[in-house]
Amino acid sequence: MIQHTPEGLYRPDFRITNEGERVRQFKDQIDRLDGTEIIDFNLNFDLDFPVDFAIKQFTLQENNSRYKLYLPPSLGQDDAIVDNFYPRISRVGKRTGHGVFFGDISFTNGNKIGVAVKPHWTEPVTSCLRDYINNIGITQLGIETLQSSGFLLGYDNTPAYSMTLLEDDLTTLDSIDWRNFYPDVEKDQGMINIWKSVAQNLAYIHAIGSINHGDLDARNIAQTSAGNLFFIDWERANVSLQKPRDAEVRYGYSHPDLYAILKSMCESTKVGLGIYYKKPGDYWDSFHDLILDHYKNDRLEYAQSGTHHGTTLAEVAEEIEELEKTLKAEMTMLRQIC
Amino acid sequence: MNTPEKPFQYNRRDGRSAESATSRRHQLLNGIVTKDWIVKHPAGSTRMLEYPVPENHEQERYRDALKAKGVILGIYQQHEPEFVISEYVVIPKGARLLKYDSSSSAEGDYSFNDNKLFYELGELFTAIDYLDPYRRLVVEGPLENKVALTEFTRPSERALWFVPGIEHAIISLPDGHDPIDYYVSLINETFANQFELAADYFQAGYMRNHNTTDC
Repeated sequence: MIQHTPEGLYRPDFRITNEGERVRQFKDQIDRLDGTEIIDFNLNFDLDFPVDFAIKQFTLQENNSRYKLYLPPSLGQDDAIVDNFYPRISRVGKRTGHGVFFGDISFTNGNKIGVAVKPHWTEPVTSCLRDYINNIGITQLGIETLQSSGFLLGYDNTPAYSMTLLEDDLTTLDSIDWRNFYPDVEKDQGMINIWKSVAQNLAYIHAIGSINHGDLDARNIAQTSAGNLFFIDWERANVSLQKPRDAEVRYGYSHPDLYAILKSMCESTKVGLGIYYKKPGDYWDSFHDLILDHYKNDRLEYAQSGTHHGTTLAEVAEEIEELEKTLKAEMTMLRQIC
Repeated sequence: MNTPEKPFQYNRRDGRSAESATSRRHQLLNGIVTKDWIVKHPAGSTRMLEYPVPENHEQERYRDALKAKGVILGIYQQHEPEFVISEYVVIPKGARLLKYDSSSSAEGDYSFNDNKLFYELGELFTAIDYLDPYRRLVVEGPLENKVALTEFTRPSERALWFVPGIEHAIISLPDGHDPIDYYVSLINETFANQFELAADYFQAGYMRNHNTTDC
């Protein structure tokens, strides 16, 4: 399959290239690199679209190179030369639309970093920069996620690549077998706790400024062995500290994320988690208990504690009322079609 | 000092290490392993398991032979054997039981899908056969909590391991029973709904090593 991109280049869809081919292409690009450069993005969160602004600033710079590996200051590899890429085998991270793969990048100075590599085929430069800078922005706002570890812009008909540090104790929620969780949810407190953490994390990101994740599939919710739960892959996120204008705008940020989780729970294991798929009982009550109640409580609590809390509280209450109505209707629809 | 309200609080002032329980998703508690925890220290963190020492010389021999084959997860901590009742192992932070895993059919050189998983599982279990070829030794079920999976392995590395303490779960089958039939029936019982063709690939991996000499 060939895709025509707005940049006017014909690029193959990664789905026709197998995993080995994707890794080989990346290794080819690594071989053609002529160095590394440390780059720091300090986002101005007072802007409506700080990431767009940062992308524009970067692309307007004349000395951008497609033959350089850009690294964040935290990795401190200035003037290091990339030696090779050694892929790793995994069970998680295989449901991504981009075709993410994992491995170690070694440098001639003997250093090595484990990375998750995400290829960007469509509008490669913009897509790669957005993914990378969004992730940087999320980290700068103090929200836990994977640490950005660099990017490659690619050249000619090759993809661009954004990278995060590999955390090898990380699993994603799509790697768990959820089919026996519902209806006897009470028997598995560990799984209940996972959803509570998801709701609380989500309430937090929706409560500060104008932030949403934008692609909150189970594959993008990660948990470490220490039990920390956080969201990954922020490519489609909106990252800004601007206060939303009104309840409708707030809803525009919160609804897509909550709906993505709801949908994933209702769909079969082929595309979703299969928690409610073809199960008896009232899914809505269960979804309410597992997620919405915690989400609602936290959102209202955050609204109450902020400045101008009277206005904010009223807006958030209105937003949540609308969320409940819409999500309930959507669940009824999903129940009929799933 | 730890209190019942905050049992695992890290004391950052004096830099002493502190403990926290491993997440349920990762825990290797299986009736043999009694404790699975993460020790935080100034240089990072370490994950450890605790389980009882072998009950007799036979179990000790099984443990040593499996350790020598490199099929038991983790690095054993040294201790004075006459004074202890537990063994301690440092294990990779990401290790988890097969128990909760969802199915994966992703194809690719670097994807550890169900077929590869059960093939490697079959290969792993042949290590038990070689402990004593005349006694039909097997791992006592349930199998899904006796095997740990490690992620992000390099191509030459093993992804499946016996959970430490496996020597406590090795039993001998009665006369007339075949280990492969025993395993296949357990796998069908446990994994058939979760992983399609699990038993077929297990059998292929098991038989492959049976036709060779080593695991």
